Amino acid sequence: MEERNHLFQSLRQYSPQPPQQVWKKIEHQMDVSNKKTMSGSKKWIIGVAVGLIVGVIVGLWLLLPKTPKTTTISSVNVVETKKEIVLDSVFTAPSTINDVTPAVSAPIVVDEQRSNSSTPLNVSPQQVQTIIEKSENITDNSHQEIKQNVVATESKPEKNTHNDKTEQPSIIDSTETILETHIQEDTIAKSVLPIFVELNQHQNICRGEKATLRLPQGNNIVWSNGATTNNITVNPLETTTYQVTWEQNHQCYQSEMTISVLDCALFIPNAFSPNGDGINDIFRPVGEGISNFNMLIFSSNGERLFESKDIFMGWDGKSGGSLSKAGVYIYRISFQDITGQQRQLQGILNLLP
Amino acid sequence: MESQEEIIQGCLKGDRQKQYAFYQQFSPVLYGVCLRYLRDDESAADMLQECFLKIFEKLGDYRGEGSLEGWLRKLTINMILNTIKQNQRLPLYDDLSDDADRYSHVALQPDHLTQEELVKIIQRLPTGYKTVFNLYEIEGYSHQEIAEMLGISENTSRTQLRNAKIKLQNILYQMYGKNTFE
Repeated sequence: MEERNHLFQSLRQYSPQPPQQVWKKIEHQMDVSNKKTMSGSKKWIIGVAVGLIVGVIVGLWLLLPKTPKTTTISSVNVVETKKEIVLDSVFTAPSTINDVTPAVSAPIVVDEQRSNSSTPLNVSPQQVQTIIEKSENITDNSHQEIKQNVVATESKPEKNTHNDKTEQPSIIDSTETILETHIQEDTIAKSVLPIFVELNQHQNICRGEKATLRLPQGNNIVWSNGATTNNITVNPLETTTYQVTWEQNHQCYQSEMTISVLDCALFIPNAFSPNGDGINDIFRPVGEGISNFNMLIFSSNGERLFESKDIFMGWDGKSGGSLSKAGVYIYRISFQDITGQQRQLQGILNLLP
Repeated sequence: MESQEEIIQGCLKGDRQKQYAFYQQFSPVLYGVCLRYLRDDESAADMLQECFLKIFEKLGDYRGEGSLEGWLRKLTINMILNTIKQNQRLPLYDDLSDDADRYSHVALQPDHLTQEELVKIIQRLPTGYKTVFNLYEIEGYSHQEIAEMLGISENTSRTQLRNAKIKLQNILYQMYGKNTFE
């Protein structure tokens, strides 16, 4: 009973030559993965080196705290700001820079960043706030003490080793990446809802459709296509894997997702001529991987003329044994495409004489 | 001529030339496998690429039990099945139209077709039919094994196979018409 057909058994030995480029792609992939691990370790070394340099510089500052220096090492976020502040009212030290309130009604002279200017600028408190806010690297001036009726000339290093922290969003509770697929308006189905897929999953789209990859949280996002935004919308022509790296809670994350592009559209001719000349005699859609196919043909009066559940069985133009007259007819086709998506199409076809 | 052992050792060390020799030796038969399970040459080539990357990664696991080709074939089929199952639950296809039975009395003996033509026809089957058909008729697994591999019941496996054959007959008839059967 359970005997196999010899002909099909012989297919076990079917050994066609694969396309040339497959080996090249494999080689490339292996090279890429090798490089990735190398660059990973390099990154690590650079990280350690930067850490050491920052440590040394911070150490130096602690050892030589009162020496007025005006070097700015912006790359390691250690910013030295020289300020000249003239006050004639009490001004207690604010805990953060944002606490500088406009309530201070004193003339303040601010001389920013290395300019030992002999002509101090007079600015209002509001302006102080904006100026300070503009200098992004200053986050903590709680050490700053300003005394009444004193002209304080201070040179104070603003250490900003917490820079990363302050740029982080307050609380991150979701590390999940969401991928959303939009079906373009002009592609077939209209009944499709956006699909949400978790990170590292595959997603199938039909050729021509767009997919939006979304990373809800994270800083310093870099996608493999160069984008640095949270969302990217892609329209890949072929199956593509997108990598994304981002930073969250002082850690680097990397992930990838693959969008498989499938040919799932159904080609539907808009005319046929069932005149028996062997050319275009049958109206039938063409597509790959179609299942649950159902096609109905209606006359322009809405009369049902033909039904097929097999994509290979098209309409020969006949209804009730006689050939329908030339003119406009309506088709309604439903099918499941290769991604498993149920789709429905409706349109007009011309029956030509 | 290098021994299989040498080639495998070279592959494991990342010797590109040995890897290429290995690829040359086994890619045609594995490409043949991929072609039967996927819908076209392009996806089969993509699958082949994925498989070889996996093979080079896992080659160390081969313990020399059974033939290497058999081991590679099995790994390839598992990867294909995983992909099919990952994309969606195995899409079963049960909606045979009434008229599909029309040609079921005709024996399925398309002897005059080449292997390439046969594979092209198999590719046109819906995924569920194609997978069961391949596993049963070509790989030679039993319905019990197939049921376990795909997470379906034995009866489902049987129905899918039967329907696959009917569908094949249908396609053959559509393509080759009367000449095939009369």
